Amino acid sequence: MKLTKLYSFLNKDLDAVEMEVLHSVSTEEKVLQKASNQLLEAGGKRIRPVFVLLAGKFGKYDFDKMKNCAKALELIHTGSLVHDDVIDDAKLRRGDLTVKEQYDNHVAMYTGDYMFALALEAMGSIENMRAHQVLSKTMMELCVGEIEQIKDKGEVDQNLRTYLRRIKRKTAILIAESCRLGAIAGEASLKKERALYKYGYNVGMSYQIIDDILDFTSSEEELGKPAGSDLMQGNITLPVLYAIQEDEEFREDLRKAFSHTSTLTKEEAEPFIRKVKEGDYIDRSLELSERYLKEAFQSLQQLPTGRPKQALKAIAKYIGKRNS
Amino acid sequence: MVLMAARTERKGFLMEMNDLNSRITYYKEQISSYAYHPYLSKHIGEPAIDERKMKTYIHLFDHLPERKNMDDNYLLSVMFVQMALDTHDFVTVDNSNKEVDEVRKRQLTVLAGDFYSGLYYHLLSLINDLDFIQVLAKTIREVNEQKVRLYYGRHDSLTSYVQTYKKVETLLSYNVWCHFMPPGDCGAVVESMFVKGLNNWGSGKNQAFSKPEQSKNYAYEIADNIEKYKKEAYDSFKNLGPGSSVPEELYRKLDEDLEQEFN
Repeated sequence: MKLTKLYSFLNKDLDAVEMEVLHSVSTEEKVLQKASNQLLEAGGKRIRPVFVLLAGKFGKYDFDKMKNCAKALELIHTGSLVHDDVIDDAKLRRGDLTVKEQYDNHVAMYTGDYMFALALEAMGSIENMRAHQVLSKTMMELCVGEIEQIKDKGEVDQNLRTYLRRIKRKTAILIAESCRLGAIAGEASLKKERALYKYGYNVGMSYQIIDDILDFTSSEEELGKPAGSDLMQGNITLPVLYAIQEDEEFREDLRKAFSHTSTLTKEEAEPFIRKVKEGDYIDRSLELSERYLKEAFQSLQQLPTGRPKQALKAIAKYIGKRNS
Repeated sequence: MVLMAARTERKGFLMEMNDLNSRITYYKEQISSYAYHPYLSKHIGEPAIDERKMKTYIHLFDHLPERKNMDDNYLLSVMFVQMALDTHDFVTVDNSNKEVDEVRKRQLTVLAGDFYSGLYYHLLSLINDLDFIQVLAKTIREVNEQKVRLYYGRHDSLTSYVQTYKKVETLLSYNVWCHFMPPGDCGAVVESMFVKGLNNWGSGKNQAFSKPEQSKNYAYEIADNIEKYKKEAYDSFKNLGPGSSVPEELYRKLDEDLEQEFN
C-alpha cells in the first residue's frame, strides 16, 4: 500500500500545503528562484507536514495555522538538505543535480538560508511563543546533531548511546517536534501534545534505524546511491556498531581503515559491508527498530480513537515494513 | 550545551559600563558563551564577531526610545544574524581540496552559520518578541536575495554592483532601525554601516562576492578602491546629517566612531 493512502482524508489539506510550499518562493533573482524550487518541486514524502496536520487534528485544527506550520517545517527540512549537500559534497539528490553541483557552494548556502528565512516568516501567524521556542531549539539541535555526526565519523570507539543520541538529533527530533508543533498550533491538551511528541520521537528513531539497515540491504538502484554509502561516508550506523562490538577483528580492521581518512572507497568498504551482511547485525538492528515502534504504538493509546489516530498507527506500521 | 549559557545578572551592571570597549568585551563573552561548542571551537576557532558593526549596533540600541536597549537578547540576536550571514560567506567554493582538515572546516562552517541562525530565533522566542523575529527573518531573506544578485547576477555597471553590495552590508541595520523608530530619514545609519562594511571587504569576505564571469571583475575594482568608497560613504554621512529619524546625539556618536575608522 502507498504511504499516501494511509491518510487520504487529509488529501485536500495536504494539496493546499503543497501549493503553499511550491508558491512560497517568489523572488526576482532567477538563480535563487530556480535553485529554491529545484528541490521543492522534486517532491518528497512531505512526511513532516503530514505529522503536523495529523497532530493538529487532536486539537482545534485551524487550517491556516496548521498550513503555515507545516509549510515552515517543510522549508526548514528542504533548506537543510541544500546545506547538507554542501557538507557531503553531494552531486545528486533524488536523481537530479544538487544545488551546489548545479551552481556552487555559495549559491547553495544562500538558497538554504533564504528557505530558512521563509520558514520563519511563515511561522509569523503562530502567536503561541512556545511553538517558536520549540522550533528554534529544534533548529539548533539539528545543527548539533550534524556536528556530532562529523565528530563521530570513522570513530570505532563509540557506543550505542552515542549512536542513539546522534540519530535522535539527526532525524527523530524533527518528526517528534513536527507532531508537537501540530499539537501546539492546534491547541491540543498538554497530555495529547506529550503523547504525540513521544510517538513522533519513537517513530523517528525507528525510521532512521530502518534507513541505516536499508543502506546495506537495498540495491544501488533502489537507493539511488551505492549500497553501503553510509559506511563509505564514515558514518557508523547501527549494524556496523553491532559488528564493532561483537567482532574484534572487524573493529581493528575498521580502525585501521579510518586511521588516515574519514571516508572509504567502495573497494575499501566492501569487505566490511560483506561482514555486516553475513552476521546477525541486520536482524538485531531490526529488533531495536521494532522496540521503538512498540513504544510509538504505546504512546498512541493515550490519544482518542478516530481517523487521525488510525493514520498515525498505520504510518508507524508502514515505517516498520518499508523496504525503500 | 551552548544554549543555556546563563543570562547574566546584569541589572545595574550595564549602566556602569560606560566604556564602549568594556561593553564590546562583555557582549563578545556573551556571544561566545551562547555559541560555544567544543568541536566547533577546536576546528574552526572562536566565532568571528564583527566588532566594528557591533559598535554601531550598540549605539543604535542605546538610542531606542523603548527599553529594548535594556535587554541583551535584542543586541545579541542582531549580532547572531550578522554572524550567520557573514559565516556562510566564508564557506569555500572550491571542493577540490580533500584534506580531512579542510573538508571538516568547510562542513563545520556551514553548520556554525546555521547554528547562529537558530540562536537568534531562540533568544527572541524567549523574550516573546514575534514581531522582531519576523523583521530579522525578512532581513535574512532580503540579504540573501541581494547576495545571489551580487554573486550571480549580471550587473550593468560598477555603480549597480556597489549599490547591491551596500544593501548586503546595511539592510540589517536599516531594518532594525526602521522597526523601532518612527518612519523618517535614517540615511546616516545606512552610510555609517556601509563604511564598516567596506572595511570588511579585504578581510577575505570579498572572495564570496567575486565570481568574475558574472561580476565583470567589479569585485576587484572595489578591492582596489576601498578607501575611495569609504570616503564617499563618509562624505555622504556628513552631508545627510542626523535626519528626521536619527537623533543628534546618536549622529554625533556615529560620527566619532567613523572618525576613528579613518585614523
